[in-house]
Amino acid sequence: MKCDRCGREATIEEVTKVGQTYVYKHLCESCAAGEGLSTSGSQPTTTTLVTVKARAAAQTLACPNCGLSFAGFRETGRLGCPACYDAFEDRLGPMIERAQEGGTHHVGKTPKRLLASVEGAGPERRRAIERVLGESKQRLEKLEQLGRQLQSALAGERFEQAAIIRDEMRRLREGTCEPEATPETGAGEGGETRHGDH
Amino acid sequence: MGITDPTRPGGRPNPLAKLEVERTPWLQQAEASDVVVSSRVRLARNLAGFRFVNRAEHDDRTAVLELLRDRLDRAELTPGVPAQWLDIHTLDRLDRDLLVERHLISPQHARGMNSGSARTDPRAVVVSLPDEGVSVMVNEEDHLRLQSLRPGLALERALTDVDSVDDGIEQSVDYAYSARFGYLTACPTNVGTGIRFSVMLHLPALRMLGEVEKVKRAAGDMSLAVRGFWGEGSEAEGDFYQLSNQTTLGRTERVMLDGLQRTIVPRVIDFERRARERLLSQRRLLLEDTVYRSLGILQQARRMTTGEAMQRLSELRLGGTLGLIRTPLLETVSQLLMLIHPAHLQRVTGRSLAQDERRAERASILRARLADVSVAP
Ligand SMILES: [Zn+2]
Ligand SMILES: [Zn+2]
Repeated sequence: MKCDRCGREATIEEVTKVGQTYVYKHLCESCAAGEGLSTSGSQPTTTTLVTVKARAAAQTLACPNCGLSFAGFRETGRLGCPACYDAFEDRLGPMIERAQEGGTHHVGKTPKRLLASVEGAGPERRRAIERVLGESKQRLEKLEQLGRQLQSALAGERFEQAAIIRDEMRRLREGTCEPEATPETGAGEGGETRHGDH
Repeated sequence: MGITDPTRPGGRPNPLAKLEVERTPWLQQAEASDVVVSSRVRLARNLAGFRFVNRAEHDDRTAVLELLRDRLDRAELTPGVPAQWLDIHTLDRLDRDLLVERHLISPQHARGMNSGSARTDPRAVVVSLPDEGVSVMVNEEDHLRLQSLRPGLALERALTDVDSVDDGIEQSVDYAYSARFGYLTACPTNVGTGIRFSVMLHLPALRMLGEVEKVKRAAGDMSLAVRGFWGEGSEAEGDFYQLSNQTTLGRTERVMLDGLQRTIVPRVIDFERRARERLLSQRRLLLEDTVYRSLGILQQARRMTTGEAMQRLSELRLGGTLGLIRTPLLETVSQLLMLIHPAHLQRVTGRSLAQDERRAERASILRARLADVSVAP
């Protein structure tokens, strides 16, 4: 990739979120420094720097279990195995969030046997199970409650109240240990995975 | 089951002998079925430790199939009714089509993963027969696709049914599941709850008054998809529309269900019913002309395509709900919606039919079954 300003090899990609789309700028180290951009230090929250090297690494990303590459997933929209979700989590997270209209974490049903095995498990096994289960139980209960309030607000056409409840639900969904989502570098390339019912 | 029929080469026994071709359980009359034809809930599940179907070798898919056959063959998907396991890759084309028409398997499941693999891809469906209320596809896009399909407005019941079958299966297998993403699915659009609620709505009055777009917009505002009679990629046929959720992550099953059944579904029912009343009170001539013209054609035509039959039956069904026609009951008209489809037609007549013959046979069945219908006084 060539630097947008001087034509030398670019090593830095600047991604700026403008409205709903991402704008890309490619720069070499010296031009980036000239623009006051660097990969270290704090940047305005709307701008994220991605080194081109890191981006290339992401493109050759593959699942260690089934060997599916991230690019392969982008082609078909299908993952290869449950471990793909871990392998691609950083890049998949923001994509899923968009496809799921803001949904970032599971709330709802949990496999019963998994839940039951928490009771009576030794401390180590218990920690292992809780890692899989996460904190979904508590969030679930609160979200269930808010969900009911939201539906009744919508049914009564109390839209302002509904908006407040929705914000609270969003905070609750996001207010966990999740790091801030990095912009999906393929945004706007038609990489959405939605394709209806199967 | 020694039942044979001439459409089966060599008079082989009928693996679908228990399926009542003439009567589709989910087309029976039930709650709000003047507008809501049926309710469906499906869950997508995968087994931990196996690749998803699209990336699994033939042997791995066979291993999943055999593991699940061991757990699910004759399982009671409906209490007291041992379910029947059907290997799709061993079925005739006509039987596969019959199951698709019946909404017991998807068109994709009937075809197999690649062209030409219909008779080799190891895959199955487990169905509780004869009630057909619950079915499980094995090795479709996900290892397991559990479905409950019920007549009328019955999302609550369908959820309860599918939920308990899910619990039952989970007793003996480990599901692929993660804290963050919930139930892991081959396609990330299904991840989380893996659930899809759908209701099949009959909206002839809204279509006649040009107001279906309003329903579509309202559904879109709530992130719901509107599809045709056959689901994904299908156009509305005979004024039948399926409304379903598109997102599966971040909201509980219960919240999603409430969203459908407390807000949009009752509103659409109300909207369609009012449109019908408006037709009766303000556009009576248009309404009568539409219904009676369809009745005349159904009672007299000699050839008919599936599409036309769906449209005519839709209009007759509208007339039935508004008391414009006397007997038979709405139920007869609804059941015909299934019988006019190609595989059903061939099973009912017991002969394999070319397209042209099907059109004649379709018209003939409609004439025979609707001979007694008369205009209400
Ligand atoms: Zn430069
Ligand atoms: Zn994988």
